[in-house]
Amino acid sequence: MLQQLANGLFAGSIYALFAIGFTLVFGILRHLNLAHAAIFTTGGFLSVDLISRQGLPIWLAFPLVMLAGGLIGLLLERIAFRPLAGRPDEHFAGLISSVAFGGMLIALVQARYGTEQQSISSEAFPNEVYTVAGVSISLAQLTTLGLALVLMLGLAWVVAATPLGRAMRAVAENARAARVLGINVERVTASTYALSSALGAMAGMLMVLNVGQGDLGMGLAIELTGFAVIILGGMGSLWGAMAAGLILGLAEALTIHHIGSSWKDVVAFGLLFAILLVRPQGLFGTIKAREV
Amino acid sequence: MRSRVASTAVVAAVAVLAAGCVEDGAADDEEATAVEGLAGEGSGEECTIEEPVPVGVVFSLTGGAAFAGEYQREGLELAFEEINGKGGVEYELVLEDDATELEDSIAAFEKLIERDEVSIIVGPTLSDMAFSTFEDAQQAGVPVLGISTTAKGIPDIGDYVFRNSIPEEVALAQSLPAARDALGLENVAVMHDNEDEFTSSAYTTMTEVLDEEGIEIVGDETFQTADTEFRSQLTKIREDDPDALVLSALPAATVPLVQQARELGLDVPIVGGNAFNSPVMIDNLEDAAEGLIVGGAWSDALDSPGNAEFIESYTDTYDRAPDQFAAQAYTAAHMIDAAVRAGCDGNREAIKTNLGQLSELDTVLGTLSLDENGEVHHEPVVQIVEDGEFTLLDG
Repeated sequence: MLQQLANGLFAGSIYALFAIGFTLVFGILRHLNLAHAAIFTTGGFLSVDLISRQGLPIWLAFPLVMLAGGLIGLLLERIAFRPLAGRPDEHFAGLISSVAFGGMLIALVQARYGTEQQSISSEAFPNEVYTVAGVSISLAQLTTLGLALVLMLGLAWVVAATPLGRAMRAVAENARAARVLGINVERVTASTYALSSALGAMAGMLMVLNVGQGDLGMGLAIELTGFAVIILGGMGSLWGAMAAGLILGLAEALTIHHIGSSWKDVVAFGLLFAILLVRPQGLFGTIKAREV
Repeated sequence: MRSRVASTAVVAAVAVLAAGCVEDGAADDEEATAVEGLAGEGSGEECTIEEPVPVGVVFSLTGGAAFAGEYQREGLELAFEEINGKGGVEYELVLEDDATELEDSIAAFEKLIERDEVSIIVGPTLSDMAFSTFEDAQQAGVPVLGISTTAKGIPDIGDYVFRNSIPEEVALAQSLPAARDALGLENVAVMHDNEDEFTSSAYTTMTEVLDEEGIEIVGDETFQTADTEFRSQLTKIREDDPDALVLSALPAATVPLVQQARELGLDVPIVGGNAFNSPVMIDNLEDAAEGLIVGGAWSDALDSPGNAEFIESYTDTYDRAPDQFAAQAYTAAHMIDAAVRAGCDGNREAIKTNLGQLSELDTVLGTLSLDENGEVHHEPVVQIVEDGEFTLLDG
């Protein structure tokens, strides 16, 4: 039972980290960025490359993968979203162009690494397993949980307490008013994408460390769960995404334990609908579904 | 989206062209079915055929199944190179890549049948595509030899359809009793991917075999094809305390699943199907691979006719060790050569007739026969991973 709670918590922390980057862009810019899953996959493959092929130590790979994710985010904003700004169908067109950007990214990853799963060498990361009160926890899982929490709290701090965060919240409230007040909206938009994508790439890296391999389909696999987490937590809510990620991870683990593994999705998504019946705006969402 | 539209357009265009060809070709149909230069003199090793025998090949060399297609291409090319060196009969390969797409696979078959007028087609890599393409070949009267199409019902498509890949069911039916005898299993936990047709049908066979062999199933868990997190299911299985875990999964799920099992302290032997049967699997799993038991068609430890020579010349040529896909492709070339030499005739009809009569052929897969249905029969190999190497498990 305790083991199942731990299993759920670790899985949930990756869901949460994936979802938080996704919801950040929606909360501030109202853009649905469907390239997020592709950036997650790219981050995963890049970390296999840096660690297993280039032989970089893991502590150096972490910031590099985040940096790469951030740069891809800037590119994404510049190519897929900025040219559409101001069009009446900006949001819908952006959704489509982000799908296209994601597809291109995956094609590039495939061209570079091929279609096979890329496994991470075990020497790169100590394969330590700790057993506490009958619960087996690997070092990779602990690192994942720790880093996910640090990154999520870090993001919350950036949004709440830094000048960039204040500017972000102003843009979220009303972009035109923010511009009138002298805020460089373009720069805030670009920074939001960079932050979001850095977190997405990082989530991909943690996933790879956790399961031992990168797979071209890993983004698709987490995307649906990620959407569920965002809706459950309340569109655009950072705290909501965090809480909902952990809840969904736990719900899946407990369903497998008590009901059966075939019912995992039924119960997890049933829970989603049940919560939405009671709170249509999600756990932490506001009615207009727009906050940070 | 775009590529789908484009490939649909290509298929449409090919279909139009093909329809045109059929009308044009109807008149000289008689000549097309029997080419004089392909009928030779002598028999067996002494057989000489004037014209090179055209062999069509459709593999997934790019896309999702490329991991298998590349090995298949190498295995087949190596074998035909060796056979061509013997003299008497020469084979000319026409290679097509179906990019792991059904439309491309159908188009490739159309091209090989109508334009290249090949005598036999080897491939495709995936069963999904074989169901459509083998139907086309059957109607055109072109023999096909599947080398990795293990799905149920493939040989039933028609009398021009053959395969040399034993179904997963046959491999599993062999490996479970062998594992029980060698390791004294009394109860097992079963885990399978319930989203995939191939793994689900293997799961049904597994439970039947377990039942027949009197092995109790103490745990039964499922997961989905794209899953990479299995700790919750494995935790439950750990509590069931089975003697072994029986697994039906695709390669992508296998590595994380086995790693997570070992990490959670589930150290029992894990019995699996074809997905385990690759040296890549041991490399990726490293220490976690210990105790994996695999039923498959081929092993590098197999003491079959010519196996050691095959492994040596493959490794020399391609700088990597062959896998089961390569071995089955290599075998296909020798089967075709045996069928052609048996009647000393490289025409479609002759190959079809003689391939159907192959019996007790010595190959790297062991002694192999085809039955009247085109289904292959040979002894599967049961192996266990010990000290990082596949070794034969003696039941």
